Amino acid sequence: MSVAVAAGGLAVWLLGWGAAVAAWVAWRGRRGGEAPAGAVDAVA
Amino acid sequence: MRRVEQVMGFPVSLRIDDASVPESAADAVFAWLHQVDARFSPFKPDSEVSRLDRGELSDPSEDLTEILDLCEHYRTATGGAFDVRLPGRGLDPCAVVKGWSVQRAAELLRAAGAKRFCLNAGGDVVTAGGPWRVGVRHPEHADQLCTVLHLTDGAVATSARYERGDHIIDGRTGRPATGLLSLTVVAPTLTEADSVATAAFAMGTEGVHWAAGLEGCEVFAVDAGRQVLRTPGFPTARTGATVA
Repeated sequence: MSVAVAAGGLAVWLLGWGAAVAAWVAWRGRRGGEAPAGAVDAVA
Repeated sequence: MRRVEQVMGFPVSLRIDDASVPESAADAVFAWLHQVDARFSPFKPDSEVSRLDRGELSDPSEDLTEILDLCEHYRTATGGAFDVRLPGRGLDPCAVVKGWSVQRAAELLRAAGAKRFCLNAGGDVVTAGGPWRVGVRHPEHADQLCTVLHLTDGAVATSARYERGDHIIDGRTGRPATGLLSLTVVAPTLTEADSVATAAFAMGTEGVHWAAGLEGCEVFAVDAGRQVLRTPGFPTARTGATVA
């Protein structure tokens, strides 16, 4: 029983971190910080 | 917010990423640039520059005085290679006016509360709140970049022969400057980046070293032999430096 609780807790913890990382990636993408390779914002 | 307009004969594109900045900030930028074109174009007979050149303007405005002071500064600094009063030609301060006016436009944006923007005036770029990725056009292949740089808050300008041919004259010889294919300068302001790029280009290969010695300036140049010259601090994001 305690093993199942621990596994559940770990899953919830991992899901939380996954959501946080996804939110951070999305935020960076909106800021333009994760432009695809080769893409530029301007040409001088 | 994104906006593109044709001003001074080239496209000016503006991107502002701050949702709180009103459209009127972009309106003010383009109104200013149109005003600059009307006031300082040597191609408009009734501009301040044309009237001054004809001796019809005895008391130049504060802005024109500032522009002419900058021109004189760079003429002296380059030993006469950069000269807006070439013999047989009218007064042409365009090389300074463009960078100066676009930098002033960027300051208008900051005053309006813009923290993250990219203002690109025909290849002269001012950025704020980066990271921004700015490509440097290959001097011989218009559809290729020869390098990409990262800018956070700063400016970048390129002088080259590809846009208008041999249009930059070495004032010391009166002949077109042909020592370089292109020269790009990164500086804190576009006033400096654009003026230094043109002035250094007029000097030829020695101009690369001159510009590299200026505080706050980083340089990327391709000489007539297709050799890439760059300062160690040039903020290259990735190199595709296949200048061949």
